[in-house]
Amino acid sequence: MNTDVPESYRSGIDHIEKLNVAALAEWLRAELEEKVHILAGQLDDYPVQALVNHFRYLSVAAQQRFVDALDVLVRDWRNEPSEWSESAARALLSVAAELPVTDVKLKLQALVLDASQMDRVPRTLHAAVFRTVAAHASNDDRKFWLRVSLLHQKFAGLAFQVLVTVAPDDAFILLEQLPDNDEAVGSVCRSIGRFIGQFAPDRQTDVLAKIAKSTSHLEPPRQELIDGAIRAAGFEPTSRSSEDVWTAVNIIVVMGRLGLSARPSTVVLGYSGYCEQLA
Amino acid sequence: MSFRSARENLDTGRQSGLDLLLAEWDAGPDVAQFAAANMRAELGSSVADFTVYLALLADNRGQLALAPPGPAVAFQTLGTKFGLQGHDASRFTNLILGRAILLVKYARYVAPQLDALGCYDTEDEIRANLRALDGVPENAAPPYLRVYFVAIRRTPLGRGTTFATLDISRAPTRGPWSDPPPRADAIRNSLALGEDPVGNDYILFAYQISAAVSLRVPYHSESGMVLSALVSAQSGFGEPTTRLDRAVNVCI
Repeated sequence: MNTDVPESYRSGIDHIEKLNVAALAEWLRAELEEKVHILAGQLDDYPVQALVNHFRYLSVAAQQRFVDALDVLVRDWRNEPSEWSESAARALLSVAAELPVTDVKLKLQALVLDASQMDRVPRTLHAAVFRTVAAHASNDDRKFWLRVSLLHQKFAGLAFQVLVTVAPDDAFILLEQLPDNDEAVGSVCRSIGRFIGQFAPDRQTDVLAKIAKSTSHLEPPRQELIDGAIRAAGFEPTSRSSEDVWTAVNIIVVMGRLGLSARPSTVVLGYSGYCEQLA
Repeated sequence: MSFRSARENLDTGRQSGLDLLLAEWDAGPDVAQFAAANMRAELGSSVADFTVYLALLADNRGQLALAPPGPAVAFQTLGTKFGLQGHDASRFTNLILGRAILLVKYARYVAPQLDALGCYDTEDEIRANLRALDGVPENAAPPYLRVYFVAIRRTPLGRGTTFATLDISRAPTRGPWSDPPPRADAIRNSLALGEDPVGNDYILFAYQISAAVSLRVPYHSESGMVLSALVSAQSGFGEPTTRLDRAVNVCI
């Protein structure tokens, strides 16, 4: 046990240290259901913050048992979500989001990708599930989050937020397939400034142009919303019409390099758009 | 005391008195005098000890801003020092002492309401957005952030509650508020929880410490934590006195 354990934590730590995985799981379930409170902390700490606070003072072996017990509980909940109260399930997911639980993440990822299993989870908990998986996201998960954006379109914006952190370049791919719904676009708006800001200044113009291009499939009001969020973050969004011009110009240039002639309509469209921009 | 019961206390008016004491500890003698006057009115002679304790916290806020478990040790040390100076913390056990709420806890608290409104953000994003709302009146917030105000208002503690974020990581010589310290209405608007009844301003989250527990100050701290600095007294200390228009920052 850590020797720096605060005095008020000692009894709780001693209790946890003595439990094996099965007993820990049983006690944890009771804590999450708020049937038992043996830990130190103010009432608003229960159960999530109290558990998280105590965890750091456990011995390495006890921490492992604790994580294993969480794994057991997540498996139980996933198999029979109806046997859990919503608040207990939410608390379980919150604790899992705070602690190093690799196996739990894998279980929840599998759950998310299995539509029939996900249907059994109360809809009010779906966001909490995604949030827990997001808390443990790494660069290795980028394909998972791209799939999420296709399978669970309301959560595509949350997936974007994750990719912004773990795989910024893949976030562009997600933007291209961003569903045209308020939830997804709202989440994108709330993180777009952070997304742009993490690129080096000399890349930001390019990034803004890519965003404009990637989101051009959205309805104009939602495009405006994203542009507004970009402005609010202190950047100037690239005009989508000028983006179209440059796309056309680039196509012509590339086709020329390939020895192909551009279709006249492409050139005319590109040129007229360019003139509008100049005007 | 849970969030809910704290709110009920506020609603039923059982919580009264020195509704608050929050502002810049370093802001000058007028603020300190204001605070002291309020405390004296509410607490009688015991205010002296409590002021000493607050001053100790203020003087040591640099240590208190460390990541856990650093602050835990710092608070314990301060508590010992407080005792060695001949003070008795147990005299304040009937105080309702505002405490800092970890931003992570508040994010967790408000998340279900955000979910219900179709606002699906990661925890990091929720925290970042709560911090970003500091100082932003609701009607001036960008449309994609207004949902946060709606969600906050839907929580049991939402309506009528005032709170602000502070950056605890700022240099110990600087207060958590920008200079000059904002007025109460600005603080209220910092997270714009709606139009509070006049004279009914509260800084986020009051906690009643039971008589069985010695006065304790939170030791969890992190950058951008949500500040609660309500110092109030239970009924029995007299009629409600001055409502917030100046405040003393207890520097936690």
